[in-house]
Amino acid sequence: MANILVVGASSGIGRATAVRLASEHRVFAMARRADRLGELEAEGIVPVPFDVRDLEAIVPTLKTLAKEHGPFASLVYCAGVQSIKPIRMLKVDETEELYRVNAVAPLFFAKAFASRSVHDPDTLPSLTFVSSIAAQRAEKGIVAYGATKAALDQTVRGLAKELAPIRVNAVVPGFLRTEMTERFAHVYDEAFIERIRSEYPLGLGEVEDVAELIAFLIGPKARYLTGEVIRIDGGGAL
Amino acid sequence: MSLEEFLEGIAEALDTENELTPETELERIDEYDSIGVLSLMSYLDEMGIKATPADFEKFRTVADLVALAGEKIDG
Repeated sequence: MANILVVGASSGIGRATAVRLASEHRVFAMARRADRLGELEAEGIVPVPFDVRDLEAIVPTLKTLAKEHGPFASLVYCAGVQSIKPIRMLKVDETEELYRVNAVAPLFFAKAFASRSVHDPDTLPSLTFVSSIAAQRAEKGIVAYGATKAALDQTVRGLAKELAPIRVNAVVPGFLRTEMTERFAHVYDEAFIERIRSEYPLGLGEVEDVAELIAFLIGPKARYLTGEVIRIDGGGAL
Repeated sequence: MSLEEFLEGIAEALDTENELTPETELERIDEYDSIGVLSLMSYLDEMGIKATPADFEKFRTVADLVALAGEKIDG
């Protein structure tokens, strides 16, 4: 059983990914909200309480984890912060946090994973990130959020070159109902969700659909796939 | 928060120089467009008030926003 680290695993795509991978791998679920991780222990998942905003602690934490439990075959980064605010409403601290969680922390998780003491070179190692359609399609009110995800997409391509043979990819979900989007229920209201249902050729997706793609990407059948940012949106972007 | 402070916040969110009163009709504010609505939603959200796009379709005057803020406005 390979060790897999899922970062941002307390809810949404991260949680679904941890649960999906736990049937085949030894999954370590990392998240800030320790109480939420406790529920995953019943699935045989190892909880790792950690706040990804603590950038300086990322490398030492992963090295310690690998030393105690063995190296990792894959790291899946699902942590993210969303913001819906016109530019005129931006606040410095919120914007810094947006970049820190969505764009800067992924760099340091990649740095940590690339260390020979953290990844296992014999298990087709991979890094997988969760990006957003906001990186590709400009929309009012999500300029800063989209910019952080665009930075992440280019990070994926750069890392794929620099860290090969470690494979590095990203998944780009369309709109999904998650705890993150529920926080913006005043924007993503029932009318919005109805519109998505009718406009996406395959309707509204589930977090489990994305988890399944991630499971494929970290597996041996994707051994020749790297540097790709793969949309999974039921055709929503067509 | 006083009514005056609330109205100042509304004006700032809309980035309008119009002097706002509860009687001001939203449609008469040039800056009350899609970004204006999004900005107001963000401003209200910071106050712990959720307003949906559907709510904004029903709002006619600044007084509707004041009513939504309810007890958050004192005096």
